[in-house]
Amino acid sequence: MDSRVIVITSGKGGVGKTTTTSNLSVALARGGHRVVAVDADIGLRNLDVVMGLENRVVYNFIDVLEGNCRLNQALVRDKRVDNLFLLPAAQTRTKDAVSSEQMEELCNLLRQEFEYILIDSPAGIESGFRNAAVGADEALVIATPEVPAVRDADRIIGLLESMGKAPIRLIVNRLRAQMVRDGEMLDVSDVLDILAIELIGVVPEDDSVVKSANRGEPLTFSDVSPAALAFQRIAMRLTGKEVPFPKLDEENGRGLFAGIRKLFGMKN
Amino acid sequence: MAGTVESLENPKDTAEHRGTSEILLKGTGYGVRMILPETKTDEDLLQEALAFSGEAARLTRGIGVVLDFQGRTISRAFLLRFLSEFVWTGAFRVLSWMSYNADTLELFRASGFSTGEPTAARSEKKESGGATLLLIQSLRSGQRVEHEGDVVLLGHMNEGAEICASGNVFVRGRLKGVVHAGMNGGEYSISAGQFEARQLRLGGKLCSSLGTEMEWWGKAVVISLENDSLVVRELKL
Repeated sequence: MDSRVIVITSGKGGVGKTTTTSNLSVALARGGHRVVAVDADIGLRNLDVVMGLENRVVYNFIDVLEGNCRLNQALVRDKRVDNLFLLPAAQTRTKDAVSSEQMEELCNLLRQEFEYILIDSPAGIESGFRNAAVGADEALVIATPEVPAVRDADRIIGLLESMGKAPIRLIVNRLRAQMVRDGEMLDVSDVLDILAIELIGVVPEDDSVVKSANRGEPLTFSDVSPAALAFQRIAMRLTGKEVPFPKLDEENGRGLFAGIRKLFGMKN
Repeated sequence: MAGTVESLENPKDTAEHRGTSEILLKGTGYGVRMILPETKTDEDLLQEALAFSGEAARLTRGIGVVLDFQGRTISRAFLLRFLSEFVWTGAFRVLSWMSYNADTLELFRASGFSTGEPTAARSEKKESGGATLLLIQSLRSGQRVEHEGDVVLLGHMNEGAEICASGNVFVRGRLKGVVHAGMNGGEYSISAGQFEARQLRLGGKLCSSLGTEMEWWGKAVVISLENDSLVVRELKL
């Protein structure tokens, strides 16, 4: 089976790595691909909560690596969509519980079972990040349009380049069109000018992201919110489809359809 | 127009010459002190200074000169003109920029010029050491290059990146990181296709007050350490 191991990382915390991992995993699985989302944030796991699978976690990948269980026992199948699995991290251990060699071994095990292996990296540049990235072929770097996030993304891209990951592609998350228009937020072009890597998607700021994380239901299970549409476009681009980038207003759900909705007194 | 060159053995207090309308040259231990009259207009002063640099006998090649503006108030525009038309076209070396006018002195300091009285003979330029390091890439945040010799970076240098070189540093693209050229001492230069760094280090000099208010911010520049002063030139190719 042709498999791709993709690490989702950022350097800075709180920019949307886990949200992106969960939404892309769902979108790819809904597209008919066999997908596993791996939570590599040992000790601070969240992916199970964001995906709404926390009550079904029995084993984690540390148990697999230590021989306490088989891989299939640790994988949590998402019943809402075919072909989607979660491999949780241990919450009671620390980042030092695994070595780079073990993580590579885990990725090789997963390659035999899945088309897409999405690894949710912890924030930072220490061993947690390195372990998350070591077994990956390629990387998605998440940056919000803020100077600290862009600087940290730049740092991470340098490290990923030195580890030989390719392609390294960028997702600009939580973009606010109005703030960009007002000159109060970095534009996507500003971020690209600094980071100089391929852009794979832009996700607008969207209140429904918070609601979905609290409900444990990734947005890409439905197709209604601007952020969900943006993640679906990114998933399609990941699979190699040519998907045009919408204009800034359309990314924020304020394009033609939003205008019609407003005309009829409907909320975005 | 006449200037006098006094011998080292017979120094006179410069205060004696204040009020005179002519440029005076005084011989000193480090070279020549050029006392520029306060009473002349900017234009007249510049023309008189140009006449000095045109007469080779007055300012011999390579001689160290202290420019004493006395109490004259210097504008940024005049300073730039004085630099481009007189200082940079001359064969002499400016050792120090002096004035007892507080605003003028502040302008000199803000421009990175040496404003103190020269005390010791300047050391000869140190050899930068090894060969030129050519980097065909961009330097990202956290990446650091240290090299004995010159460094040529054919790419951008992002904020958080560092280059330390014993020689000159040339950044083809945007320079936002920290560069230390001439880290072992000596007079070297930093060149950038687009200068946007908040700090630079040249030899033993540290300039950390750079910002968008600088006229040359975002432009192609060459910044060099000359006679203990930072000199910025716009790079026009």
